[in-house]
Amino acid sequence: MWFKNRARKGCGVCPRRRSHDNSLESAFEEEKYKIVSNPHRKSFELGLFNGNIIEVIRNSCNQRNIIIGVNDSRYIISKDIARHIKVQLVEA
Amino acid sequence: MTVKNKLKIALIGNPNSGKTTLFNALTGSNQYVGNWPGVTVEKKSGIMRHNDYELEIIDLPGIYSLNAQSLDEKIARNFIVNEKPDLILNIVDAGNMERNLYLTMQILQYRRPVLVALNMIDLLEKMDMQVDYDNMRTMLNCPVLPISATKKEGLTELKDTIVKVEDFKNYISNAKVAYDEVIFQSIDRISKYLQKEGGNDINAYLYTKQPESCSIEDPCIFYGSIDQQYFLLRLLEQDELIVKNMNHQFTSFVNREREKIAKHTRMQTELLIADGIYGYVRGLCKDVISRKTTYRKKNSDSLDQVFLNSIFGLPMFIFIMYLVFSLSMTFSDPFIGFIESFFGGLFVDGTRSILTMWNFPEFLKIFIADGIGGGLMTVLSFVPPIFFIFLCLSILEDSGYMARAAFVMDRVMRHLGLSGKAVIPMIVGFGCTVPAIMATRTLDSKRDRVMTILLLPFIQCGAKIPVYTMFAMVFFRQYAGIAIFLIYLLGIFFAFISAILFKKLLFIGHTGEFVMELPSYHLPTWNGIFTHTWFKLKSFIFRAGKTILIVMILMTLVNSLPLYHNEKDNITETPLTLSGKFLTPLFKPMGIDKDNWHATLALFTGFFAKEAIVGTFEGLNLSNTLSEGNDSEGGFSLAETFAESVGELKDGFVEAFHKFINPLHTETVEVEETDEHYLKGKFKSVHQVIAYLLFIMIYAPCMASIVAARTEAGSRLAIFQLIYLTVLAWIVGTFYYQISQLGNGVSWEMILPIVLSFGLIILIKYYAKDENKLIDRG
Repeated sequence: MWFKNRARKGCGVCPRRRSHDNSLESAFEEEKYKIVSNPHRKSFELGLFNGNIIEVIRNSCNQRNIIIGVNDSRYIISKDIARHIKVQLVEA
Repeated sequence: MTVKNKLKIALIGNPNSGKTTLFNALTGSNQYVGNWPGVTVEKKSGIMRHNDYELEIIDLPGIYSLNAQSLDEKIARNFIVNEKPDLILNIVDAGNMERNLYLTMQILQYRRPVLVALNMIDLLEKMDMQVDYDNMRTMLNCPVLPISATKKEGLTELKDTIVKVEDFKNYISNAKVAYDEVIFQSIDRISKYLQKEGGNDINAYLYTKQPESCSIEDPCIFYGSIDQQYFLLRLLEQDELIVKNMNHQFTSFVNREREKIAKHTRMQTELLIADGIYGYVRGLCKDVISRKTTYRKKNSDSLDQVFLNSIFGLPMFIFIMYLVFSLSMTFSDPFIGFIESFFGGLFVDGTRSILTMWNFPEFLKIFIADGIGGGLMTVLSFVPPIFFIFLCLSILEDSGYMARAAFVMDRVMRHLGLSGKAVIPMIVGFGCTVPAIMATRTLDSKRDRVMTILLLPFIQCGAKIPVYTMFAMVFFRQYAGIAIFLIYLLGIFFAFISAILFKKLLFIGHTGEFVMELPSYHLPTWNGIFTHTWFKLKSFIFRAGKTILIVMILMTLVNSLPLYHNEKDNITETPLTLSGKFLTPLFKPMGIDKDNWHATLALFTGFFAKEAIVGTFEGLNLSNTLSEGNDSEGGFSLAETFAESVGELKDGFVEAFHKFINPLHTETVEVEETDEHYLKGKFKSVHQVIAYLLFIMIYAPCMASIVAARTEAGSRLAIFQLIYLTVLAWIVGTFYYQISQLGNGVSWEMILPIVLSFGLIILIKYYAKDENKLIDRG
């Protein structure tokens, strides 16, 4: 769809650069990441445990939450939490 | 029949795992099933009958873990700890085994008999997945049965196994999770320390409060009440049921152990324990699941690109909500006309005609035809708008859009000091405030929960629809739908204002963290939608309808009790006229005239139930009409009335369709009903009506809501809510009316709302000094 990669293409919303802090907050849409560390208990228990692979479904700068896919589930996670979750890119 | 109803079976599982569907299938109940997390926020019980057996099944709220962070998780965990069910029936979503089995492993560690029902196996083929059930049974060391609750597959086998509950009553799974070595070392040290310090009575050493003092209201876990290793694990995790009332010396020892673990592993203890469980579950899933392809919910993800779009998401949400109200108001109009015409003819004119034929005395004709018949007609005429509202909300809930609304609205809600999750109770509040207050249990933080409860009355519930419909149809008939929608928007506006006030003055602090599952979109089924709509509508008809009917009859009767004749006004005073007149001066600054004491009385009865406002006006109008001797006793023909009503219904549909296509479309307004003359006689100007509606929109919620708020957050909050809302309603109503009268000069009454506004802020400041002044529960 025409609006699918709007954030990345920077059509007026929020063009971003790849960050060096490796936090989930700065992860890109449609990329797969491995959880390196997650200090947040509830998200950990939902499946964001160390070593698990997640996919970033939606991460737009003008929204306060991101949507991620863990296996077949989709979760909304606030960026306050995502900031503390460290990830490593596995598949762009 | 072998009655085994003393045996309790707890049904537990993740949200959206099909728990309530299974509960309904097992017990034959019709509990509400929805496609959003938090449908079951309280435990519900039902009786399962199978092969001459009767067992009690308790449906617990859907939870992801037993760590009890939110209220619904606490309810489920406390039930397992306190009630010690004979069997825990754990429902596991086969399509999401990894996360579901995390909860299973926690349950197994409580050392109670567990039966795992692997649900949604019908989806396994679509997902190209195969499960080795035998291996799964071996690894979990408990019975595992594949089922599909929706398609009713495997339920007979499940029931057969459940009724054998006594056979495996003492069979406890010995599945052991291999935690990190440091955890075991720590447990070992704590255990030795306990043996040394505690001696023969470890609980006496550990606690200031002893096991006998535990209760359902004040639950706790003591040493020896659960498996020892699990007790020590929970202790390391700082489970509040274990650590509360614990002796300080021992708490310090445990904290030192936690620090050691954190230093050694660079992980918090509770996360290390969760990691251990996930390690076990991942190994199990690898062994028992074979999957060729990666299943992705492509349809749901594509739809989310549209509904959760950062630009269009919010306007789309507002448009959807507008559609809900526009559809409800526009298409309910022809049905209201039909009901008023046909059932009005049947219940009132028809009954009166028969009673006259049988020579019934006049007071009985008034009571039966006008009181009961008129009351029934009034109740039925409010069914169409309520039905359409509930129908639309059911579609939103079943489709999975509710959870999306939380995402879309999160940005707005954050400005108000709440997380997007608080939107779900608020949408539920459009139906009824009581279940909405219950739905706040899904919110993780106490602050968010209490603030949402305080704001919920601003969301206009279904019971207020009859009130707004009555006024809108009389005073704004051409734009009734838009007028009602504006009232709803104004309610939301005042919720925003109050939320900002609370955020700045009362609940200063961090908004609760937002983590929530997005369920897949489902195409709602007709059966599902109509079952849910009927479920809610039935509750309205029996609860609200009963109130309207009783209030109407009471008002008619009490208002026909003469006390004395007032020579000055040339009217006969009744208990109602006197009490209404006594209170009316309070509402004079907001435009309620001295002779409009009916409006004051309606506000008073509305405190018991909002729908009673309509009943009061209808009842008082009826008394007036009858006292004026305006009772037509012409002939009545059922066939003619029906033919006329059907004709009106057809015309109404054409009109409604035009109105829906063009919301600004105007129609010729017929002035026909006595209600219209009556209300227009009481409210002399539109400004009076608006001020009155503003008051109704904001003032104290109904008695049932206050009781629900008290149950959830305590008496202090309920009292604060009552005072705050009523005073605010008076301020807003008066302020509006005084502004509208500025053309006639400035009145001293203009000062009153300003003074009271300061008073309200002082009240909030008073409560802000100490949170405990406001919250004594929750």
